[in-house]
Order: sequence, then C-alpha cells, then structure tokens
Amino acid sequence: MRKRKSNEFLTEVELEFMTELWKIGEGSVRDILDCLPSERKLAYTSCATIMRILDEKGFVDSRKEGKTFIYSPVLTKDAYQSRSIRNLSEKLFDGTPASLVARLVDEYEFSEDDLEEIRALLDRRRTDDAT
Amino acid sequence: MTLLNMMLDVYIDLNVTLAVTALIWMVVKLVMARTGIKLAYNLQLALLNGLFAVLILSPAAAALYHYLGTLQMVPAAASVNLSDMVVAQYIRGGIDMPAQDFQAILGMRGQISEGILSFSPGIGGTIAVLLLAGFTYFGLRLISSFVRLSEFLSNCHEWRRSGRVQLLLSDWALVPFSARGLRRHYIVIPSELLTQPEDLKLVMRHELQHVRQGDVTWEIALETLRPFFFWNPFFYVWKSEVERLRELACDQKVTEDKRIDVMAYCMCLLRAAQAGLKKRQEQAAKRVTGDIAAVALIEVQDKVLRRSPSQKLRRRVEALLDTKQVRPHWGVLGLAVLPVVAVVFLTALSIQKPPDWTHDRLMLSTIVNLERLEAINTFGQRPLR
Repeated sequence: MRKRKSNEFLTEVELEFMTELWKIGEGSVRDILDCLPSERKLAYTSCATIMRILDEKGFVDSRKEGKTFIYSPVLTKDAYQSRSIRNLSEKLFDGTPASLVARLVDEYEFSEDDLEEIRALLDRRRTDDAT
Repeated sequence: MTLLNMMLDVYIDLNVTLAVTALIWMVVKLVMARTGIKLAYNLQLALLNGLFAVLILSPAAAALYHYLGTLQMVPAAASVNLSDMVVAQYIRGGIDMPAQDFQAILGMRGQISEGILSFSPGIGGTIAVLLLAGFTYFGLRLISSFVRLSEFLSNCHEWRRSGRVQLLLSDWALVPFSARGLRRHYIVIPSELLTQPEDLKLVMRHELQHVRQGDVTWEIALETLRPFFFWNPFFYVWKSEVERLRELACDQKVTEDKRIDVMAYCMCLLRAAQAGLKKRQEQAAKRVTGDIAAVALIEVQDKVLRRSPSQKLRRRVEALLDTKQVRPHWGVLGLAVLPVVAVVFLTALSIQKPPDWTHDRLMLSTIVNLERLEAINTFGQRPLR
C-alpha cells in the first residue's frame, strides 16, 4: 500500500470532486463523473486517478464493492471550510480575522437579509460567550 | 609531478578547451546564420552534446597521445605544443622582448599553479581561496538541489509506471518536467493537467521525447560540473545553448508526427506558460519546485543574465512555425564535424605543459643565462658618460 501524502488543502479539481462527493454522500468514480457538468469531458481514468489521490491525501475513504471502489468523504464540508478560512486568515490577513471580515464586508454587496443574518450570528456568539 | 599538480593541470586545460570549444561553436552558429543554413535542432543538439563529450575526454586523449609518443608510436614531428611553438617563434626573432621577461611569461602558468597548490600569499593563494569557496558554495547548492528534488518527487503521487519511466502527479509543480534517478526516469505532471486530456497528451509526448533524447542525463552532467566551472563564463554560454536547443529539438521532434497539429501544440505551450505563471504567483512565498537536474516543458522562472521566459517562448513558437530545416546525410555531417573535433583535440594537446626540453627551449635558457651573465659582468664597469 502506498503511504499517505499529507496535504491539508485541495487543488481546484480535487475541490470540484469533493464538492460533488459531499453532495451525494458517497459514490463510485462513475457516480461522481455523472454529477460533473457534461462539458467537463473528463476521462474515467483521470477521475479515478484524482479520487485515488484524494484517498492518498486522506480526504476520502474507500471500500471495495465488487470491482468498484466506493468513496466517502472523511472530512465534512464545514470542517474543510474552517480549515481553509483559518489558513487564509493566517497567511493573507496576518492572523487577524477581523481584517478578513472587514475585507469581505467591503468587497461583497450584502443584501439587508445577509447583514441581518450576520448580525444575528454575532449576537448569538456574544450570548454564548457570556454564558 | 604530484597527483595534485596533475589534477590542477587537467583542470586548467579543461577550462581553456571549454572556452575555445564554445568560441568554435559560436563561430559555427554565426556562419550557419549568415549562410542561411538551418540545421535541424536535434542534430545541433547532438553536435553540441558530442562536442562536450569530446571536450571532457580531451585530457585523457591528450595523455594517451603523449603515452603513444613515449612508445614512439606517434612521430615526434607530430608534436603540437603551443608554448613550444611560441618559443620557436622567439628564437627565430619573431617576438621582440628581453629573454628573461619572455621566460617569465612562459613560466607564469607554472608559478600560479604552484601558488595555488601551496596557498602562498599573493595571486596563487587568492585564486586558491576563491576556487575553494566557489566550489564549496556551488557543491553545497548542488547537493541541496538534489535533496529538494528528491523530496519533491517523494511528495508526488504515482500515476503510472511503464518500464523505467514513472509518471508522477504533483500539486506543486509549476509546469510539467522530467527528472531521473540512478535507474528510473520521472515525468512530473501538474495534477490539474489531468482535466485537460488534449494538453496532457502533447505534454506527455514532449516529456517522453526529453527522456528519449537523454536530456535529463545531460542536464545532471552539466549541473554536476557547475561547481568545477562556476567561474568560467563559457560554461554558462554552453549551458544556455544546451537548454535552448534541447527544447527546440524536442518541440521539433514532437511536431514531426503528422497527427500533431503545430498550432494546437503552440497553444498548449502558451496554456502551460499561463498556468505556470499563475501557480508561480500563488507559490511566490515558497520555493517548492526543484529547479535543477530537471528538464521542464517551459520556463516560468526568471533567471539572472538570461532571456525572459516570454522571449524564450516566443522563440520556440517561431521555431515551430519555421519548417525549412536541413537534415544532411550523416556522412556529410560527419565530414563537417571532423575538423571541429580535430580543432578541439589539437587545442587540448597544444595547451598542455611541454613534457621535456626541446632544442628551442635549451636555446632560450642559454640566452637567459647569457643575459644574466652580461648583467653580472657590467656591475664592476664604470658607467658610460
């Protein structure tokens, strides 16, 4: 068995595959391929290789069902989002999440509903911290 | 003569021969450009690599020649030695200079060599320190590059294996490249290329062609020699020529296949450059790619005193679109190459230290002694008024 290669982050293509896997819960290479947009025109072997790499990196687990490998995510989407945002905050925003949020607020056009949701989130966080 | 003396002599001879060979190559290139002869790039590369092999083997060939001379298997009249020729010219009156000064110039190389080996204060000692410092620096850099490359390869994901060629996928490689170990060849492909089947096919052909041409082996050989030739500008000229020609030769060989569309290949190069530049920006803070002992599809890193990657790419595309290349019969090529090889060999032979005293050298020594005697004899004389 090949040793696991530690890599904390996904490449663009791997993220695309993981996003589909998170959606379907678990599936074979064919299942993931079916979920991808038809214009992608990816070869089955290429997809199988990408899934094998994800397995080596420890992002997915695989089990054999007959002749097919069934892949399931090891990491939840939320966990990966947290890992990515922490990395972004540390590397690009000098470990100050407030600047990251400030940039986000400056750059994105938030609707009233979005802002309300963020406010609610912050209030909830404050209440949790107080108790 | 000690072993160290001999090694230093070989080292100096190799550096001089390299300079002369590089100059010969530049003259040949200039003549070809002026006469409009466009030799196929793979032939040019083979010539360049062949000349380098001749150059590296030249000290051994010269030693063999001298050995055959001692066995009287080579006619004595066929002896070629530059300093002997200069001495002969001096004795015939072709060089106007006091004999002592002339002998000092002739003995300069020997004096500096002695100074280098004995670390004596002055020019010799300074050169010895600079050579050792440079050798240590470039040697350590070479080792560190090999270690980095080996780490890089071990962090790649194995894709396929065919005979001695192993295909690897990497998240960090800026561009596809080939490398090699002692027995295995490695072709490293950026993993995102898996999603571009057409480009992947072209890139694979290109990298496999590098493996076939033995480019990685030559690259390793040249990089291993860098610590020895680090101060010689002609070494860098030579290396940049090899780098230029191996890519052009590889492009040409790949596109010779009628199934390959030249335009599609050019576009693939452009996309590879674009993707590499994008990745380079992302990885700007960390130097993750091993930059030596590997042959990349395309350059995206700027190098000191070299053409920019964009200029190189432009040249490659122009070369691909220029199809008027000459492929002479190997016999004709051999006849053209023979004089060049002969000049390299003669250079190596002529710059060697003369093995023994010739008649002209004895004459020169006598003149020097007479000049000294004359100087001594004039000490007691009353100066002329």
